[in-house]
Amino acid sequence: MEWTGHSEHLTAAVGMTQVWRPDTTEEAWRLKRQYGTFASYVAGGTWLRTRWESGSSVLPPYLISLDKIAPLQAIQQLESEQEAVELRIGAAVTLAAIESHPLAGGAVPLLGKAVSAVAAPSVRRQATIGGNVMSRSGDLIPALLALDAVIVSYSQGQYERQPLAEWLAGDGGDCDKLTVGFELKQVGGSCWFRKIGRRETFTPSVITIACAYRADSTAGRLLDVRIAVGGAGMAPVRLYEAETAAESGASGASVYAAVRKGIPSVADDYASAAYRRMAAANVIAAELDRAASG
Amino acid sequence: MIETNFRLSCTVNGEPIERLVQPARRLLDLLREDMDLTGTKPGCEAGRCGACMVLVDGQPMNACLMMAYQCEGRSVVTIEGLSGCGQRHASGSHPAESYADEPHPIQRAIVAEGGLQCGYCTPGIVISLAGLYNRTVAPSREQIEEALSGNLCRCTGYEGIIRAAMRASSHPDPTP
Ligand SMILES: Cc1cc2nc3c(=O)[nH]c(=O)nc-3n(C[C@H](O)[C@H](O)[C@H](O)COP(=O)(O)OP(=O)(O)OC[C@H]3O[C@@H](n4cnc5c(N)ncnc54)[C@H](O)[C@@H]3O)c2cc1C
Ligand code: FES
Ligand code: FES
Repeated sequence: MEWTGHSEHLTAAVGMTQVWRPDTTEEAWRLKRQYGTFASYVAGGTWLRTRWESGSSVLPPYLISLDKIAPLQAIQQLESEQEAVELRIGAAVTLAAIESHPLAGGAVPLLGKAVSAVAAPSVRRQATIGGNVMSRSGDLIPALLALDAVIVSYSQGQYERQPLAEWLAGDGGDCDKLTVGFELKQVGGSCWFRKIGRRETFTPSVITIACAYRADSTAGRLLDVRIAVGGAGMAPVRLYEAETAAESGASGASVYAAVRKGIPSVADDYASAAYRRMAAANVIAAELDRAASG
Repeated sequence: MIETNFRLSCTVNGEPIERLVQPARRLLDLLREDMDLTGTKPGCEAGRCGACMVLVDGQPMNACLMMAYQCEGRSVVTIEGLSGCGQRHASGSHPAESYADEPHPIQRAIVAEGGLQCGYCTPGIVISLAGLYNRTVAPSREQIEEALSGNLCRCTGYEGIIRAAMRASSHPDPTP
Protein backbone atom coordinates (compact mmCIF):
# COMPACT_ATOMS: atom_id res chain seq x y z
CA MET A 1 0.00 0.00 0.00
CA GLU A 2 1.32 3.42 -0.90
CA TRP A 3 2.25 5.62 2.04
CA THR A 4 0.03 8.68 2.06
CA GLY A 5 1.42 10.59 5.02
CA HIS A 6 -0.64 11.67 7.99
CA SER A 7 -4.42 11.94 8.06
CA GLU A 8 -6.21 13.93 5.35
CA HIS A 9 -7.62 16.52 7.72
CA LEU A 10 -4.17 17.19 9.14
CA THR A 11 -2.66 17.47 5.66
CA ALA A 12 -5.35 19.99 4.73
CA ALA A 13 -4.79 21.97 7.94
CA VAL A 14 -1.03 22.14 7.30
CA GLY A 15 -1.77 23.91 4.01
CA MET A 16 -3.80 26.57 5.80
CA THR A 17 -1.59 27.15 8.81
CA GLN A 18 0.39 30.35 9.03
CA VAL A 19 3.44 30.59 11.23
CA TRP A 20 4.44 33.81 12.95
CA ARG A 21 7.96 34.09 14.26
CA PRO A 22 8.03 37.22 16.42
CA ASP A 23 11.33 38.60 17.78
CA THR A 24 10.00 39.86 21.09
CA THR A 25 7.87 38.71 24.00
CA GLU A 26 5.54 41.67 23.53
CA GLU A 27 4.99 40.91 19.85
CA ALA A 28 4.29 37.21 20.55
CA TRP A 29 1.74 38.10 23.22
CA ARG A 30 0.04 40.68 20.94
CA LEU A 31 -0.36 38.06 18.21
CA LYS A 32 -1.85 35.58 20.67
CA ARG A 33 -4.23 38.23 21.99
CA GLN A 34 -5.22 39.12 18.42
CA TYR A 35 -5.93 35.55 17.23
CA GLY A 36 -7.11 34.08 20.56
CA THR A 37 -8.14 30.44 20.30
CA PHE A 38 -7.26 30.38 16.58
CA ALA A 39 -3.59 30.54 17.55
CA SER A 40 -1.22 28.48 19.64
CA TYR A 41 2.24 29.27 20.95
CA VAL A 42 4.68 26.65 19.72
CA ALA A 43 8.10 26.03 21.25
CA GLY A 44 9.56 22.66 20.15
CA GLY A 45 6.12 21.50 18.99
CA THR A 46 6.76 17.92 20.19
CA TRP A 47 3.82 17.76 22.62
CA LEU A 48 1.57 19.57 20.16
CA ARG A 49 2.58 17.12 17.41
CA THR A 50 1.43 14.11 19.46
CA ARG A 51 -1.91 15.89 20.06
CA TRP A 52 -2.41 16.76 16.38
CA GLU A 53 -1.44 13.30 15.13
CA SER A 54 -3.72 11.55 17.63
CA GLY A 55 -6.60 13.93 16.85
CA SER A 56 -6.78 15.12 20.50
CA SER A 57 -6.49 18.68 19.25
CA VAL A 58 -6.47 20.34 15.84
CA LEU A 59 -3.66 22.20 14.17
CA PRO A 60 -4.79 25.82 14.53
CA PRO A 61 -4.74 28.33 11.65
CA TYR A 62 -1.99 30.33 13.37
CA LEU A 63 1.13 29.12 15.11
CA ILE A 64 3.20 31.62 17.07
CA SER A 65 6.69 30.23 17.21
CA LEU A 66 8.91 31.26 20.12
CA ASP A 67 12.16 30.29 18.41
CA LYS A 68 13.33 33.81 17.59
CA ILE A 69 12.75 35.44 20.99
CA ALA A 70 16.29 35.66 22.39
CA PRO A 71 15.55 35.95 26.16
CA LEU A 72 13.45 32.78 25.98
CA GLN A 73 16.48 30.81 24.73
CA ALA A 74 18.91 31.80 27.52
CA ILE A 75 20.13 30.23 30.77
CA GLN A 76 21.36 32.93 33.11
CA GLN A 77 22.78 33.08 36.59
CA LEU A 78 20.88 35.67 38.65
CA GLU A 79 22.59 38.10 41.04
CA SER A 80 22.11 36.66 44.51
CA GLU A 81 23.24 37.52 48.04
CA GLN A 82 23.01 33.86 49.01
CA GLU A 83 25.66 31.25 48.42
CA ALA A 84 23.37 28.99 46.41
CA VAL A 85 23.35 29.68 42.69
CA GLU A 86 20.10 31.17 41.41
CA LEU A 87 19.18 30.55 37.82
CA ARG A 88 16.73 31.76 35.24
CA ILE A 89 16.03 29.25 32.48
CA GLY A 90 14.26 30.68 29.42
CA ALA A 91 11.00 28.92 28.57
CA ALA A 92 12.19 27.96 25.07
CA VAL A 93 15.47 26.37 26.21
CA THR A 94 15.58 22.79 24.97
CA LEU A 95 15.90 19.87 27.35
CA ALA A 96 19.18 18.89 25.64
CA ALA A 97 20.59 22.37 26.31
CA ILE A 98 19.61 22.09 30.00
CA GLU A 99 21.17 18.64 30.22
CA SER A 100 24.54 19.83 28.95
CA HIS A 101 24.63 23.29 30.56
CA PRO A 102 27.07 23.40 33.50
CA LEU A 103 24.81 25.77 35.47
CA ALA A 104 21.59 23.85 34.85
CA GLY A 105 21.71 20.06 34.43
CA GLY A 106 25.21 20.03 35.95
CA ALA A 107 24.70 22.27 38.98
CA VAL A 108 21.09 21.33 39.74
CA PRO A 109 21.25 17.52 39.73
CA LEU A 110 17.52 16.97 40.36
CA LEU A 111 16.70 18.98 37.23
CA GLY A 112 19.46 17.17 35.31
CA LYS A 113 18.04 13.77 36.29
CA ALA A 114 14.49 14.77 35.41
CA VAL A 115 15.48 16.15 32.01
CA SER A 116 17.43 13.00 31.06
CA ALA A 117 14.37 10.91 31.92
CA VAL A 118 12.22 12.62 29.26
CA ALA A 119 11.82 10.82 25.90
CA ALA A 120 14.97 10.11 23.83
CA PRO A 121 17.94 12.38 23.01
CA SER A 122 16.56 13.36 19.58
CA VAL A 123 13.25 14.51 21.10
CA ARG A 124 15.10 16.37 23.86
CA ARG A 125 16.96 18.39 21.21
CA GLN A 126 13.62 19.86 20.18
CA ALA A 127 11.44 19.72 23.32
CA THR A 128 11.59 22.70 25.69
CA ILE A 129 11.16 23.25 29.41
CA GLY A 130 8.32 25.74 28.78
CA GLY A 131 6.39 23.28 26.63
CA ASN A 132 6.90 20.58 29.23
CA VAL A 133 5.46 22.66 32.04
CA MET A 134 2.71 24.34 30.00
CA SER A 135 1.37 20.92 28.99
CA ARG A 136 0.65 20.56 32.74
CA SER A 137 1.60 16.89 32.51
CA GLY A 138 5.35 17.07 31.90
CA ASP A 139 7.80 15.03 33.94
CA LEU A 140 9.83 18.14 34.77
CA ILE A 141 7.03 19.56 36.89
CA PRO A 142 7.65 17.40 40.00
CA ALA A 143 11.38 18.27 39.87
CA LEU A 144 10.66 21.99 39.50
CA LEU A 145 8.10 21.80 42.32
CA ALA A 146 10.62 20.13 44.61
CA LEU A 147 13.08 22.91 43.74
CA ASP A 148 10.50 25.61 44.65
CA ALA A 149 10.72 27.01 41.13
CA VAL A 150 9.06 30.29 40.22
CA ILE A 151 7.33 30.70 36.86
CA VAL A 152 7.81 34.05 35.10
CA SER A 153 5.14 35.07 32.63
CA TYR A 154 4.24 38.04 30.47
CA SER A 155 0.88 39.61 29.74
CA GLN A 156 -0.25 43.12 28.81
CA GLY A 157 3.10 44.83 29.29
CA GLN A 158 3.66 43.21 32.71
CA TYR A 159 6.00 40.47 33.86
CA GLU A 160 4.69 38.35 36.73
CA ARG A 161 6.55 35.97 39.03
CA GLN A 162 4.53 33.24 40.74
CA PRO A 163 5.55 30.11 42.66
CA LEU A 164 5.02 27.12 40.37
CA ALA A 165 2.99 25.38 43.11
CA GLU A 166 0.56 28.31 43.14
CA TRP A 167 0.37 28.42 39.34
CA LEU A 168 -0.44 24.69 39.25
CA ALA A 169 -3.19 25.07 41.82
CA GLY A 170 -4.95 27.60 39.57
CA ASP A 171 -6.48 26.98 36.16
CA GLY A 172 -3.85 29.01 34.30
CA GLY A 173 -6.27 31.94 34.01
CA ASP A 174 -5.41 34.16 31.05
CA CYS A 175 -4.65 31.66 28.29
CA ASP A 176 -2.83 34.28 26.18
CA LYS A 177 -0.15 34.64 28.87
CA LEU A 178 3.33 33.84 27.61
CA THR A 179 5.64 31.92 29.90
CA VAL A 180 9.02 33.60 29.74
CA GLY A 181 11.08 31.37 32.02
CA PHE A 182 11.63 29.66 35.35
CA GLU A 183 13.71 30.77 38.31
CA LEU A 184 15.18 28.27 40.70
CA LYS A 185 17.91 27.84 43.26
CA GLN A 186 20.54 25.20 43.37
CA VAL A 187 19.87 22.94 46.39
CA GLY A 188 22.71 21.00 47.98
CA GLY A 189 22.61 17.40 49.18
CA SER A 190 21.29 14.33 47.44
CA CYS A 191 18.39 13.68 45.14
CA TRP A 192 16.64 11.04 43.09
CA PHE A 193 14.05 10.99 40.34
CA ARG A 194 11.86 8.00 39.39
CA LYS A 195 9.26 7.32 36.76
CA ILE A 196 7.04 4.31 37.38
CA GLY A 197 5.15 3.18 34.34
CA ARG A 198 4.36 0.48 31.87
CA ARG A 199 7.45 1.27 29.79
CA GLU A 200 10.65 3.15 30.53
CA THR A 201 9.82 5.93 28.05
CA PHE A 202 7.25 6.90 25.45
CA THR A 203 4.20 6.26 27.60
CA PRO A 204 3.10 8.72 30.28
CA SER A 205 4.30 7.46 33.64
CA VAL A 206 1.82 6.14 36.18
CA ILE A 207 3.67 8.16 38.76
CA THR A 208 6.72 10.43 38.57
CA ILE A 209 8.56 11.21 41.80
CA ALA A 210 11.19 13.87 42.45
CA CYS A 211 12.98 13.99 45.79
CA ALA A 212 15.82 16.07 47.26
CA TYR A 213 17.22 16.02 50.81
CA ARG A 214 20.32 16.54 52.90
CA ALA A 215 21.50 13.74 55.16
CA ASP A 216 22.96 14.51 58.58
CA SER A 217 24.95 11.32 58.96
CA THR A 218 26.07 12.00 62.55
CA ALA A 219 22.52 12.45 63.80
CA GLY A 220 21.12 9.90 61.36
CA ARG A 221 18.52 12.48 60.27
CA LEU A 222 17.26 13.87 57.00
CA LEU A 223 17.04 17.64 56.55
CA ASP A 224 15.32 19.86 54.01
CA VAL A 225 13.36 16.96 52.48
CA ARG A 226 11.46 17.90 49.32
CA ILE A 227 9.13 15.40 47.63
CA ALA A 228 6.87 16.09 44.66
CA VAL A 229 4.82 13.73 42.49
CA GLY A 230 3.03 13.88 39.16
CA GLY A 231 1.89 11.40 36.53
CA ALA A 232 -0.64 10.71 33.81
CA GLY A 233 -3.83 12.68 34.42
CA MET A 234 -2.78 13.72 37.91
CA ALA A 235 -2.17 17.31 39.03
CA PRO A 236 1.44 17.42 40.31
CA VAL A 237 1.73 18.14 44.05
CA ARG A 238 4.30 18.52 46.84
CA LEU A 239 3.93 15.98 49.65
CA TYR A 240 4.46 18.38 52.57
CA GLU A 241 3.21 16.01 55.28
CA ALA A 242 5.51 13.25 54.12
CA GLU A 243 8.42 15.73 54.04
CA THR A 244 7.74 16.72 57.67
CA ALA A 245 7.43 13.08 58.71
CA ALA A 246 10.77 12.22 57.09
CA GLU A 247 12.53 15.24 58.64
CA SER A 248 11.19 14.44 62.12
CA GLY A 249 12.69 10.98 61.96
CA ALA A 250 9.24 9.36 62.08
CA SER A 251 9.04 5.63 61.36
CA GLY A 252 8.95 4.28 57.80
CA ALA A 253 5.31 3.38 58.41
CA SER A 254 4.46 7.02 59.21
CA VAL A 255 6.22 8.28 56.07
CA TYR A 256 4.41 5.58 54.09
CA ALA A 257 1.04 6.69 55.49
CA ALA A 258 1.77 10.38 54.85
CA VAL A 259 2.68 9.67 51.22
CA ARG A 260 -0.50 7.67 50.67
CA LYS A 261 -2.53 10.49 52.12
CA GLY A 262 -0.91 13.13 49.90
CA ILE A 263 -1.25 11.38 46.51
CA PRO A 264 -4.28 12.73 44.62
CA SER A 265 -6.90 10.10 43.96
CA VAL A 266 -6.67 9.56 40.21
CA ALA A 267 -7.33 6.39 38.23
CA ASP A 268 -7.15 5.57 34.53
CA ASP A 269 -7.47 2.45 32.35
CA TYR A 270 -4.04 1.20 33.42
CA ALA A 271 -3.61 2.10 37.09
CA SER A 272 -6.13 2.43 39.88
CA ALA A 273 -5.84 5.23 42.45
CA ALA A 274 -4.95 2.61 45.07
CA TYR A 275 -2.13 1.22 42.92
CA ARG A 276 -0.68 4.71 42.37
CA ARG A 277 -0.75 5.45 46.08
CA MET A 278 0.81 2.13 46.98
CA ALA A 279 3.55 2.31 44.32
CA ALA A 280 4.51 5.87 45.30
CA ALA A 281 4.49 5.10 49.03
CA ASN A 282 6.61 1.95 48.56
CA VAL A 283 9.26 3.76 46.54
CA ILE A 284 9.40 6.92 48.64
CA ALA A 285 9.41 5.20 52.04
CA ALA A 286 12.08 2.71 50.93
CA GLU A 287 14.34 5.38 49.41
CA LEU A 288 14.08 7.69 52.42
CA ASP A 289 14.70 4.82 54.80
CA ARG A 290 17.85 3.92 52.85
CA ALA A 291 18.96 7.57 52.88
CA ALA A 292 18.40 7.95 56.64
CA SER A 293 20.30 4.79 57.46
CA GLY A 294 23.22 6.11 55.38
CA MET B 1 6.80 38.70 8.70
CA ILE B 2 3.81 36.36 8.36
CA GLU B 3 4.92 33.16 6.74
CA THR B 4 2.52 31.25 4.49
CA ASN B 5 4.37 29.29 1.88
CA PHE B 6 7.58 30.82 3.05
CA ARG B 7 10.88 30.44 1.25
CA LEU B 8 12.84 27.80 3.10
CA SER B 9 16.56 28.08 2.82
CA CYS B 10 18.69 25.32 4.27
CA THR B 11 21.05 22.61 3.04
CA VAL B 12 20.00 19.03 2.38
CA ASN B 13 22.85 16.56 2.01
CA GLY B 14 25.23 19.44 1.52
CA GLU B 15 23.20 21.04 -1.32
CA PRO B 16 21.81 24.52 -0.68
CA ILE B 17 18.01 24.43 -0.98
CA GLU B 18 15.71 27.41 -1.64
CA ARG B 19 12.08 26.45 -2.01
CA LEU B 20 8.61 27.70 -1.34
CA VAL B 21 7.01 25.43 1.27
CA GLN B 22 4.15 25.39 3.73
CA PRO B 23 5.81 26.42 7.00
CA ALA B 24 4.04 23.75 9.08
CA ARG B 25 4.88 20.97 6.60
CA ARG B 26 6.78 18.16 8.27
CA LEU B 27 10.41 17.66 7.34
CA LEU B 28 9.50 14.00 6.75
CA ASP B 29 7.03 14.98 3.97
CA LEU B 30 9.41 17.54 2.55
CA LEU B 31 12.12 14.92 2.17
CA ARG B 32 10.04 11.97 1.01
CA GLU B 33 7.33 13.61 -1.09
CA ASP B 34 8.88 16.84 -2.35
CA MET B 35 12.48 15.71 -2.72
CA ASP B 36 12.09 11.97 -3.35
CA LEU B 37 14.51 11.16 -0.54
CA THR B 38 12.62 8.05 0.54
CA GLY B 39 15.46 6.57 2.61
CA THR B 40 14.01 8.49 5.58
CA LYS B 41 11.23 6.16 6.73
CA PRO B 42 7.83 6.93 8.23
CA GLY B 43 6.97 4.70 11.19
CA CYS B 44 5.02 5.90 14.19
CA GLU B 45 4.98 9.52 12.92
CA ALA B 46 5.00 10.73 16.51
CA GLY B 47 8.65 10.74 17.59
CA ARG B 48 8.68 7.24 19.09
CA CYS B 49 10.32 4.83 16.65
CA GLY B 50 13.28 6.72 15.13
CA ALA B 51 12.69 5.39 11.58
CA CYS B 52 12.62 8.99 10.35
CA MET B 53 15.88 10.09 12.01
CA VAL B 54 18.00 12.64 10.11
CA LEU B 55 21.04 14.66 11.14
CA VAL B 56 20.22 18.33 11.74
CA ASP B 57 23.37 20.37 12.25
CA GLY B 58 25.12 17.06 12.85
CA GLN B 59 22.72 15.80 15.54
CA PRO B 60 19.99 13.15 15.18
CA MET B 61 16.47 14.63 15.10
CA ASN B 62 13.06 13.17 14.21
CA ALA B 63 11.90 14.32 10.77
CA CYS B 64 8.29 13.55 11.74
CA LEU B 65 8.43 16.08 14.61
CA MET B 66 10.14 18.94 12.78
CA MET B 67 8.24 21.49 10.75
CA ALA B 68 9.68 23.17 7.67
CA TYR B 69 10.17 26.55 9.36
CA GLN B 70 12.23 24.84 12.07
CA CYS B 71 14.76 23.78 9.41
CA GLU B 72 15.49 27.36 8.33
CA GLY B 73 19.25 27.95 8.01
CA ARG B 74 20.12 24.44 9.16
CA SER B 75 22.01 21.55 7.63
CA VAL B 76 19.94 18.39 7.09
CA VAL B 77 21.66 15.11 6.23
CA THR B 78 19.57 12.07 5.34
CA ILE B 79 20.68 8.47 4.90
CA GLU B 80 21.20 9.21 1.19
CA GLY B 81 23.71 11.91 2.08
CA LEU B 82 25.59 9.90 4.65
CA SER B 83 27.66 7.76 2.30
CA GLY B 84 30.81 9.68 1.66
CA CYS B 85 30.39 11.52 4.97
CA GLY B 86 32.46 9.09 7.03
CA GLN B 87 35.25 11.61 7.40
CA ARG B 88 36.39 10.73 10.87
CA HIS B 89 37.49 7.39 12.10
CA ALA B 90 38.75 6.41 15.55
CA SER B 91 42.23 5.58 14.28
CA GLY B 92 42.36 8.76 12.23
CA SER B 93 44.17 6.74 9.60
CA HIS B 94 41.55 7.08 6.91
CA PRO B 95 41.51 10.38 5.09
CA ALA B 96 38.07 11.71 4.16
CA GLU B 97 38.60 11.15 0.44
CA SER B 98 38.90 7.42 0.88
CA TYR B 99 35.22 7.32 1.87
CA ALA B 100 33.98 9.51 -0.97
CA ASP B 101 31.93 6.81 -2.71
CA GLU B 102 31.74 4.24 0.02
CA PRO B 103 29.10 3.50 2.60
CA HIS B 104 29.63 5.18 5.96
CA PRO B 105 31.73 3.11 8.43
CA ILE B 106 28.58 2.53 10.51
CA GLN B 107 26.81 1.09 7.47
CA ARG B 108 29.76 -1.21 6.76
CA ALA B 109 29.91 -2.32 10.40
CA ILE B 110 26.17 -3.08 10.41
CA VAL B 111 26.65 -5.35 7.40
CA ALA B 112 29.70 -6.98 9.02
CA GLU B 113 27.87 -7.73 12.26
CA GLY B 114 24.50 -8.67 10.81
CA GLY B 115 22.91 -5.68 12.51
CA LEU B 116 19.78 -5.79 10.35
CA GLN B 117 17.04 -8.11 9.19
CA CYS B 118 14.10 -6.49 7.40
CA GLY B 119 16.07 -3.22 7.30
CA TYR B 120 13.17 -0.84 7.87
CA CYS B 121 14.67 0.69 11.01
CA THR B 122 18.22 0.66 9.60
CA PRO B 123 18.43 4.17 8.07
CA GLY B 124 17.30 5.65 11.40
CA ILE B 125 19.70 3.47 13.38
CA VAL B 126 22.61 4.40 11.12
CA ILE B 127 21.80 8.10 11.47
CA SER B 128 21.59 7.86 15.28
CA LEU B 129 24.95 6.10 15.44
CA ALA B 130 26.55 8.47 12.92
CA GLY B 131 25.39 11.35 15.14
CA LEU B 132 26.98 9.66 18.15
CA TYR B 133 30.27 9.16 16.27
CA ASN B 134 30.22 12.84 15.26
CA ARG B 135 30.69 13.77 18.90
CA THR B 136 32.26 10.72 20.60
CA VAL B 137 35.37 8.94 19.37
CA ALA B 138 35.06 5.62 21.16
CA PRO B 139 31.63 5.46 22.79
CA SER B 140 30.93 3.06 25.64
CA ARG B 141 28.13 0.51 25.45
CA GLU B 142 26.09 2.76 27.74
CA GLN B 143 26.55 5.73 25.39
CA ILE B 144 25.58 3.56 22.42
CA GLU B 145 22.43 2.37 24.18
CA GLU B 146 21.50 5.95 25.09
CA ALA B 147 22.10 7.09 21.49
CA LEU B 148 19.80 4.29 20.27
CA SER B 149 17.14 4.85 22.92
CA GLY B 150 14.90 6.63 20.39
CA ASN B 151 15.14 3.87 17.77
CA LEU B 152 12.94 0.80 17.74
CA CYS B 153 13.87 -2.37 15.88
CA ARG B 154 11.29 -5.15 15.69
CA CYS B 155 13.68 -7.76 14.26
CA THR B 156 17.24 -7.88 15.50
CA GLY B 157 17.02 -7.82 19.28
CA TYR B 158 19.58 -4.97 19.14
CA GLU B 159 22.70 -7.01 19.95
CA GLY B 160 23.91 -7.07 16.33
CA ILE B 161 23.38 -3.32 16.12
CA ILE B 162 25.33 -2.71 19.31
CA ARG B 163 28.15 -4.99 18.11
CA ALA B 164 28.22 -2.99 14.89
CA ALA B 165 28.47 0.27 16.83
CA MET B 166 31.40 -1.15 18.83
CA ARG B 167 33.05 -2.48 15.69
CA ALA B 168 32.91 0.93 14.02
CA SER B 169 35.23 2.33 16.68
CA SER B 170 37.42 -0.70 17.28
CA HIS B 171 38.15 -1.72 13.67
CA PRO B 172 40.16 0.64 11.46
CA ASP B 173 38.14 -0.81 8.57
CA PRO B 174 34.75 -2.14 9.66
CA THR B 175 34.11 -3.84 6.29
CA PRO B 176 33.46 -7.59 6.72
C1 LIG C 1 8.13 10.58 21.52
C2 LIG C 1 7.80 11.51 22.63
C3 LIG C 1 8.12 11.15 23.92
C4 LIG C 1 7.83 12.01 24.98
N1 LIG C 1 8.19 11.62 26.23
C5 LIG C 1 7.96 12.46 27.26
C6 LIG C 1 8.38 12.11 28.58
O1 LIG C 1 8.98 11.05 28.82
N2 LIG C 1 8.10 12.98 29.58
C7 LIG C 1 7.48 14.19 29.36
O2 LIG C 1 7.30 14.95 30.29
N3 LIG C 1 7.08 14.53 28.13
C8 LIG C 1 7.30 13.71 27.07
N4 LIG C 1 6.89 14.07 25.81
C9 LIG C 1 6.09 15.29 25.62
C10 LIG C 1 6.91 16.51 25.17
O3 LIG C 1 7.93 16.16 24.27
C11 LIG C 1 7.58 17.25 26.31
O4 LIG C 1 6.64 17.52 27.32
C12 LIG C 1 8.23 18.55 25.84
O5 LIG C 1 9.05 19.09 26.85
C13 LIG C 1 7.25 19.61 25.36
O6 LIG C 1 7.97 20.73 24.91
P1 LIG C 1 7.74 21.42 23.49
O7 LIG C 1 8.65 22.59 23.42
O8 LIG C 1 7.87 20.46 22.39
O9 LIG C 1 6.23 21.87 23.68
P2 LIG C 1 5.18 22.36 22.57
O10 LIG C 1 4.59 21.18 21.93
O11 LIG C 1 5.78 23.41 21.70
O12 LIG C 1 4.12 23.08 23.53
C14 LIG C 1 3.40 22.38 24.52
C15 LIG C 1 2.27 23.28 25.04
O13 LIG C 1 2.81 24.39 25.76
C16 LIG C 1 2.44 25.64 25.17
N5 LIG C 1 3.64 26.48 25.29
C17 LIG C 1 4.91 26.15 24.93
N6 LIG C 1 5.75 27.12 25.31
C18 LIG C 1 5.01 28.08 25.90
C19 LIG C 1 5.31 29.34 26.51
N7 LIG C 1 6.57 29.79 26.59
N8 LIG C 1 4.30 30.07 27.03
C20 LIG C 1 3.01 29.63 26.98
N9 LIG C 1 2.67 28.44 26.42
C21 LIG C 1 3.65 27.68 25.89
C22 LIG C 1 2.04 25.30 23.74
O14 LIG C 1 1.11 26.24 23.24
C23 LIG C 1 1.43 23.92 23.93
O15 LIG C 1 0.12 24.04 24.41
C24 LIG C 1 7.19 13.24 24.73
C25 LIG C 1 6.86 13.60 23.41
C26 LIG C 1 7.17 12.76 22.38
C27 LIG C 1 6.85 13.18 20.98
S1 FES D 1 8.28 8.13 12.25
FE1 FES D 1 9.40 9.65 13.29
S2 FES D 1 9.93 8.71 15.12
FE2 FES D 1 8.63 7.25 14.22
S1 FES E 1 15.71 -4.81 11.07
FE1 FES E 1 13.55 -4.97 10.93
S2 FES E 1 12.90 -3.37 12.23
FE2 FES E 1 14.99 -3.39 12.55
